[in-house]
Amino acid sequence: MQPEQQSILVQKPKRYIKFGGDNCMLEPRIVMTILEYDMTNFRKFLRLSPNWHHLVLEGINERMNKVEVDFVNKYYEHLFFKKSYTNSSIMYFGGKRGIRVDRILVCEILDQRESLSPLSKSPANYHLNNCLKASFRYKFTNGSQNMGSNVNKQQGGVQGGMSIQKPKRPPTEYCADYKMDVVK
Amino acid sequence: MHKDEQEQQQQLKQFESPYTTKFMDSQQIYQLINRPYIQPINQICQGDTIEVALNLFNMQGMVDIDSIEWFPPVLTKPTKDNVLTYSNDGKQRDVKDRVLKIFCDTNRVCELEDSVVEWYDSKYFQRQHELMDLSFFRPLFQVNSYMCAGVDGLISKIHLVATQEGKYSRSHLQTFFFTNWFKLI
Repeated sequence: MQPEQQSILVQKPKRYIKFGGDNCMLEPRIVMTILEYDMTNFRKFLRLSPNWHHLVLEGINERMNKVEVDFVNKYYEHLFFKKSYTNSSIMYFGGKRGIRVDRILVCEILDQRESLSPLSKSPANYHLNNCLKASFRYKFTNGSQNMGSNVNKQQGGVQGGMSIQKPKRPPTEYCADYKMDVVK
Repeated sequence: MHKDEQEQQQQLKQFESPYTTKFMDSQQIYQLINRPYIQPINQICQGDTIEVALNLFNMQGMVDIDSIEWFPPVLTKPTKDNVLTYSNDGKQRDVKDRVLKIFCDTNRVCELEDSVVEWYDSKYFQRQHELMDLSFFRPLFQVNSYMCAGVDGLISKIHLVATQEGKYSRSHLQTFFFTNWFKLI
């Protein structure tokens, strides 16, 4: 007679990788790092789950905070910073489809007379009947210049054919201007 | 076919590549081509709300956020001419450089307007059937003037004043430009 075998079923633990979700919280700054690495999929990250949607927008909020504080410190006499939000839109160039992601700063043009007392002199930077220029400088990140094309070098994409390795140059600095005539 | 129409067709063919049509229907392509133009320097009033866009990512690449630095605000005196008051009458005589063809500040005044020698009221325009029906604007805008120019073509300048404060829906505007584009230019 064979001894009864104890039938103890040992279930193997199920393992799965999960980023974000109810029981796996991610920090917005981690999401922002992923985003900066692969911004082409910005809209897809937003659609992953409600949690990811929140994390992506919160990550950009946190990351842009420094830039917005700099804006407020420099333009507080002319523009009242109300709020900011992130916007993305589809664009087409040369038959190719891509996206652009913008941070929109919503501001109100201040009436500088309101801050004046009857005794105060009119400030030197009075913007009425003048052209106000708001501008900033920026650079593109190294290696992101071809993110919009089919081959994403940041993600280890391989381009077909021989490629000549160009010498690395420091990224070009660009400048963006916004001009407005304050008429009334 | 008129040269302008030929150019329009050419543009359309360019956009209607198999790659583009995969993502857009014909109306979206028309909207892309018929996007209205705005002048680079806009007029604003104190109390207005504006939106300043900082581009973070586009088809050229990803902006290094740490490199973004705002410059201090700069105030300059604008030119006396604005889009409502500009007239090129006499400007040609003042300029000594005969090669110069555009006399206005193109950031504030449309160069097309600069090429017009004389504007006249739309009711004196001979081909009345070519004029636009402005009743589309009526409930929201008051039409202050509708000026015309051009001999074989029609160039229009419409001065509208909003009847009340509010936000104008983009789709409404696009529908208008979509249907009246050929007449506008």
